[in-house]
Amino acid sequence: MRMLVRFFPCLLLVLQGWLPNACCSSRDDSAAVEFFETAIRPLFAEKCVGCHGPKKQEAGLRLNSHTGAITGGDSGPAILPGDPQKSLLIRAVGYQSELKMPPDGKLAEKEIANLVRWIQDGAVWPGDERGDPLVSSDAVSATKSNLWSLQPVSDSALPEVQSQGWSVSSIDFFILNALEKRELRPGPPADQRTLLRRITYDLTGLPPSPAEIDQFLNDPSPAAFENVVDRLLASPHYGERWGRHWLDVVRYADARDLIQLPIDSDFREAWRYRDWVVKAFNHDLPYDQFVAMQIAGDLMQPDDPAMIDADALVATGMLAIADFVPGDVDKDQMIADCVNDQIDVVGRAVLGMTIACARCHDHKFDPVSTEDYYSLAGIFFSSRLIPGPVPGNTPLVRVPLLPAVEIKAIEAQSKHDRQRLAELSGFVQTSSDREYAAYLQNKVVSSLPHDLPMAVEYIRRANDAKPPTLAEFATAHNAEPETLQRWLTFLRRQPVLPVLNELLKDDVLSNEPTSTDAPAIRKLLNQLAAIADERREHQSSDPIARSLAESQVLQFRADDRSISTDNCGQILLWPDRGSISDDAIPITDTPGPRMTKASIHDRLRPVIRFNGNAMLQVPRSVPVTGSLFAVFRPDPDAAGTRLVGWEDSAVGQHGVGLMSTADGGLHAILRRTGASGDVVLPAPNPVDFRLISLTWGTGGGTCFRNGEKVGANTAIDSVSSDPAITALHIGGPGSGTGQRFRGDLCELRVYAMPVDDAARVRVEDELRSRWLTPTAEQVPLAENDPAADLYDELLSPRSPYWIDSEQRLHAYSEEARQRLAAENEELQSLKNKSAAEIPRAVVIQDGGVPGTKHDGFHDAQVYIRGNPAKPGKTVPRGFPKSLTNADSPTIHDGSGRRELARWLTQRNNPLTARVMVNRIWQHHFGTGLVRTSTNFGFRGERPSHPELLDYLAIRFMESGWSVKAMHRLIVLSSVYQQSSMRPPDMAEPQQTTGNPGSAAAEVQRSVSRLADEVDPENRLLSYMPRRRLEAEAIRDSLLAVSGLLDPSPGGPGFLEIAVPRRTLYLMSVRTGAKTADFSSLFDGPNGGGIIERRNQSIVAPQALFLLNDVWLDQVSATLAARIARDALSNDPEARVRLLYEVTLARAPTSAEIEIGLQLVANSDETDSWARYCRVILCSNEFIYVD
Amino acid sequence: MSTNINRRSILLRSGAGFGAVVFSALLADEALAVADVNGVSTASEYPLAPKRPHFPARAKRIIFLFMPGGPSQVDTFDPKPRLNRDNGLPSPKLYLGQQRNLLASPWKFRRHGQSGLEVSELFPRTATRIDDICVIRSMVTDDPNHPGGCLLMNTGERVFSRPSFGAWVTYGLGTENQNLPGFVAIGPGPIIEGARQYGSSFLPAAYQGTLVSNPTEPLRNLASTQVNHERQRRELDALSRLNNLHREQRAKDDALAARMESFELAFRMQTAAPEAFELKGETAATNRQYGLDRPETEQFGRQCLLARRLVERGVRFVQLYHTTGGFQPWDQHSGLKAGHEKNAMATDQPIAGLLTDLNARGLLEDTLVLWGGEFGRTPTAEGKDGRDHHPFGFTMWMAGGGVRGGMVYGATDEFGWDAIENRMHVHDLHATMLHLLGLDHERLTYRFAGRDFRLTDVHGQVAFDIIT
Repeated sequence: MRMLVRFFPCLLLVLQGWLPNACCSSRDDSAAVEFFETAIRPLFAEKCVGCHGPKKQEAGLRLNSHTGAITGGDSGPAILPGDPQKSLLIRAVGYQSELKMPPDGKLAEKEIANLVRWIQDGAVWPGDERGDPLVSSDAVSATKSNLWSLQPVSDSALPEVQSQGWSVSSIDFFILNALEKRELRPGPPADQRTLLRRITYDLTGLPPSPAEIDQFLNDPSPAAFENVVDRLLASPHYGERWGRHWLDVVRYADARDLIQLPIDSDFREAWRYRDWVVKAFNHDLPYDQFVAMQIAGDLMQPDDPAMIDADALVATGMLAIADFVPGDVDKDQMIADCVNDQIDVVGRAVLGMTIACARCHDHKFDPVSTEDYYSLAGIFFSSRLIPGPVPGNTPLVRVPLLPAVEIKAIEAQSKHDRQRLAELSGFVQTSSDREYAAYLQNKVVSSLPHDLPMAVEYIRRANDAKPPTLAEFATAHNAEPETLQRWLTFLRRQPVLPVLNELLKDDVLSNEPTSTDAPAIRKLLNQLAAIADERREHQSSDPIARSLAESQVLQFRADDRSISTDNCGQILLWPDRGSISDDAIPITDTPGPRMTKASIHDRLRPVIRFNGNAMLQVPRSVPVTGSLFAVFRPDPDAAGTRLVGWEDSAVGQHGVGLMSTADGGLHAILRRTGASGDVVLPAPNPVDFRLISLTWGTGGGTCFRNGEKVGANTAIDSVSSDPAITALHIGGPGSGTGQRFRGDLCELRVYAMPVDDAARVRVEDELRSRWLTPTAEQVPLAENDPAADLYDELLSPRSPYWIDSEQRLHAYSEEARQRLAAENEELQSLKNKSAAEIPRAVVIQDGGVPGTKHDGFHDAQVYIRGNPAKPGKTVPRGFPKSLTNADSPTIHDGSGRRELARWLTQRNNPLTARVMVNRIWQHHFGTGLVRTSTNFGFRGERPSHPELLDYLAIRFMESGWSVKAMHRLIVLSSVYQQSSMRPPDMAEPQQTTGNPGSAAAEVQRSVSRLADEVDPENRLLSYMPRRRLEAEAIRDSLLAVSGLLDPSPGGPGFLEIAVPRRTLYLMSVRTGAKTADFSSLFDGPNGGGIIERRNQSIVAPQALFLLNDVWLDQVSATLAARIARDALSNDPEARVRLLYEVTLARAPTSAEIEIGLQLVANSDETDSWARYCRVILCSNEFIYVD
Repeated sequence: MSTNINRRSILLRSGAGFGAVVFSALLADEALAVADVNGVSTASEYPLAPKRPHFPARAKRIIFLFMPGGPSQVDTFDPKPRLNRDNGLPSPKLYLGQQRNLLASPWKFRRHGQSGLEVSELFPRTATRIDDICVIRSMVTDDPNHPGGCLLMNTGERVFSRPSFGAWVTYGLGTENQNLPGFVAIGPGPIIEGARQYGSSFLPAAYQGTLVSNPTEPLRNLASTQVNHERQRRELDALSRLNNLHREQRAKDDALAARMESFELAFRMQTAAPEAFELKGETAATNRQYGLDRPETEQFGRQCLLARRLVERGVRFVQLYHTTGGFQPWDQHSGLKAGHEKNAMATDQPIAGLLTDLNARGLLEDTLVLWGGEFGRTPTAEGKDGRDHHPFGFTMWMAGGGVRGGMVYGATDEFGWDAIENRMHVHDLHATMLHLLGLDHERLTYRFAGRDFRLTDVHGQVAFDIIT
């Protein structure tokens, strides 16, 4: 030793740490083997064998076997077992002589110290009869014989033990035997309350309630604890606890990214998989089936096509939530990354093997070659998570969770509902409009002959010396004063005023008393009656005209003389001339467009000019099916602006819109709840006035330009309406911040039906002749026929007979009222009927990604150094050679996942059962028998109790892979029920424990000291390890003790920490975006990687959270209220007692009561009980389980 | 009762009152048990206690000025006369299989400082500090996409969940001020890939970066909304008494002691953290120096000034995300001229101010400053006025912390396409920076699931040439 110190002064520090062990003669071979496998073999493999191995033997030395090291090379033996000082190897790695190895850099001090220790201990090198090739890819599987975990699982008899009476379960014999070998003893049993708290947390992740404590303490039966275990295993909370353990190893997350990824490209339905896992644990689904369903549930579907096993489909979510990084460039890379992730998860979660390490090179330590990796990869490349490569973000495969027949029925029903809704929503509106139009027309015909002369007469009398008051005059004419008032208003407006002036200047004024019979008025009345007749006649004799008239929703014309503007020429009101509907007006605080003239085919015509910020709106909901006509010209310099629409451009989920594209083309927006039936047209040449007709309905969307069909899309059969969009917007998007229109609009029409060709041609002809022909064949209505103008006005919202829509029903006949009400009721019920949603899940499907080289089923090529761009040899789909035998299935057709599932769960697979029972053990004792519970390879640790591990594995398989049976076997043992309370060290002053000097206590202390020396990490379980609660259990406990906990299970996750549901359901997102910042604070899962075992960090931000977070304000206040309510008396001490019972499952000591009473004593302070409760919630005891 | 507190706790407790240097010395003395930085994983240590590096460090702390989106190398620090001459000609290289045309830089380069290094007119202020700066023109990365590129730059791995750079550094070195987090990420806007970029992955939670998006509330839960300091102190004393009663019945358990200590640290953090993030005490001259007086530079200036305040107070790793104008503001597929000008404008004065101020305070000597994005931009045009993602050769720069100033390291070809000389992969950058911190990137390992993980995976070469 002295020499070493001289050579390696810096080693001293490290070696001191090793001395107790190094000098301990009780080290047995298994520890030496473990040390070699974990510290020495990898070191040789990594640093030495490259030059001194089977391929190269520099200086004649091979360091890949014991023989090689002993025999040595040109300079003699490399090692001298037992004598590190004389070993050449140590001199070389010490860089103290000429020979400095490895040449490219000195080993770490700890590595050198490990070598020293290894030689000192005899240079144990197991399995070395034939030499031990470490890195040759040809012989990689030869290491199988050396890896403990690949040896068959073997049953062994219960070991002998000296001390009798302690072992109550078979497993206790294994534990006790190992303890006795080291002259250690197990600890005393835990007290009842501690035990209850421990088992309740272990199996459900929640604290025991006072009632449960009472029940247990008062159960005299010898099976009292067993009863508790059975009760807890039957609780639905059991699955929430143990399901989470599984979710940790399969890198579960609720989503990848809530901000950057579109919903289709993210696995937002992952929660279904989570719920399935919980259910599987609660139902004690045999573990072999549990694994098989996750690998190949999609291939285990019933033969009957009318049936579906939704659970089995959902189970493959394990593979579907692959950890990938979205890429807009390289889909091959993305697919290869997913496959690597799937191999990693299956390898580590099920087999405890880091197979994914062999992606780029043969596994450095374990018997897995790159060929093994790509034989598995072929299976996953022949399966798919994405339907096909698309540019940008790629959607994920989703499948419905209902059989095809049910989906068909649902789809048929919803299609029927949609069609009926489309029909009705057009119809109910137009039917109501029709009713109202008829009412107005009747009113005009019946009341006009009386009312018009009356109004004219009243105006004429205004010139009298003593004009009559309006009320007197109206009464004298048997009219309501209000009617007269409305007439006066009406007559003074454009475009009626000229007609009135005409009347007044003619003979009305001169023929004083007989003005009502004045020829001019009679003439006008006759004209109006004739127009009314003509309109009726026209519609009844021409079915096209009638259907157009009946379905017309609106018509806006730029040549309308009744457009009103402000002083600046900005439009205040654009009358709707089409039907019985509202006018278009500017949006509050937004300027209207301007009326102006533009040259169209060398003729100046009126147009409405939009300058990029003007907008008008008409209150009216979107026709579910319909037609839209527009004559307009976009500003050639204004790219991508929206002309008209019922849609929210920011969301774009519903509605109809027209947008002029950057290149002067057209984009018709047609959306139904997220589905798009958009039609995009390239630019016409030149950019000039054009007539666009757009229809949407069961045949999809169709677009015509200047009468020619230029685009269609059959993706949707109707559009949906956004409840937030209640008006048509002209000159801009529905809402949102999309660009407003720049350009000129001549006319806009909408019909509540997809017009047929004949009707479309009719409308197009009319629009074309009005706007787009060099010489107008048909002059605009408003310019030359004041009577027709007046008639239109009488049917418009400005008419004196107009009534508000709310009051209209009263004006109709009883029959009409009932009919309209019935139609409306049906419409409303259809609108309220929620769309029958077909549940879907993210799953894996058989067959590689279509549109890539993986399409179908293929064996994979080895990717040289993992690079998909460098494919090498093709290897057949299959399983790692070192893990296969004669019984292993072979893959003939399909991806091979079915065979993979079978292979993983074969009884003779040495890993599957071992890995799972070890994991169950880990969650009961904090540490597995194999500490590296996802790595059973050479770099993993060896089991502390190898026979026990195998014993458990065999019992597990014998029980039909029952996880619950395994729990019972473990927790009903003495080792599980030990106390964690070890006697405090003598060095620490004793204040509250009694009899520190008693003989028994002294014996215990000495045993305890021995355990600290011999087994400092408590691998042998001479006492129960104390554990900190995991993130979930901390939050769930806070909810449980305060009484806030909402125990409802399952469903999509929630985002806010204050939602009082179990933490299992608190959203976890791989990027952390938008999620509550809670779990990561306490080492909770981040969903991005496999979690073998939770860390137990202790950092100040955790304390800040407990001390100051406002959510804890609520929790402590609720807890205080609960204590006040439930305490047996108002006595503060009774409350303190209850608080301890509720939070810590025990009674307080007198010292603790005193501290509590001091805290709440100050009556000046508010919330003192809530603050005291919080102190208890911050205490170590609350967060640690003994 | 305080006799129960173990030696380390006492050291930690008193550390708050000592200067960081004294504190480090104390711990170095005690470091017999932690001769290897990797020996920290036991729960018995307070995980952020300062640790001795592998070998003497040149830099004690890092400020990473991260420019998400990918600044263009040929428009900033890597002038290419050939590119200007051949403007509009087809590029000799295909970009992911596509032929595109070369695009001249719209900006002129000028020589600056004694070193005469060329900097484009985008960065007139930073150019005044060029003699402090080592420009690395030969950066290479593996992923042409933002998510993978950012993850590689910040975690050393483009797909899988791995600890971030800052997490590795705090894991390796702890931090000097226990009253502040050891690793702070400051990003006022959303950050692409979010928490994965500053997370701790499988390292203990203690090492994850603390994201500060709103400096007025730098850390969560820094103050009670219910009680004042005195009352909280009394409550903590009661908590301490209860915890001691609990501990007395149990054998020595370092986790219980460490958790008690964490409450004391939290209590002190309540005062220390708001003080560190409060800019009111800074002078008007300082505010001007960092550009706080102008709206276009105010946001990033504030970030830079906070970075200086934090490193001054012993924070180990500060990362600034430039997020003015979106979460990847440098991503100019179009609008290169306007976009890069806006971004440079927003950051130039603050960065120059930071370097000047660090220098004046003697901090630059052992503070390593790193500037750059996840990749560069193509020398070819995308549209008329844009450049695409470019991982094959791009520029980052370092200053301070033992790096040679006024130096160019590596080179790209005459078009600014491939790094052809002294290629520095992201792993090499990480290895070099860890080296400057006194950490051997091959020995800074963490055993997880039976494997020793490193920031540099199985790669990484230290670029000794750039070290003074």
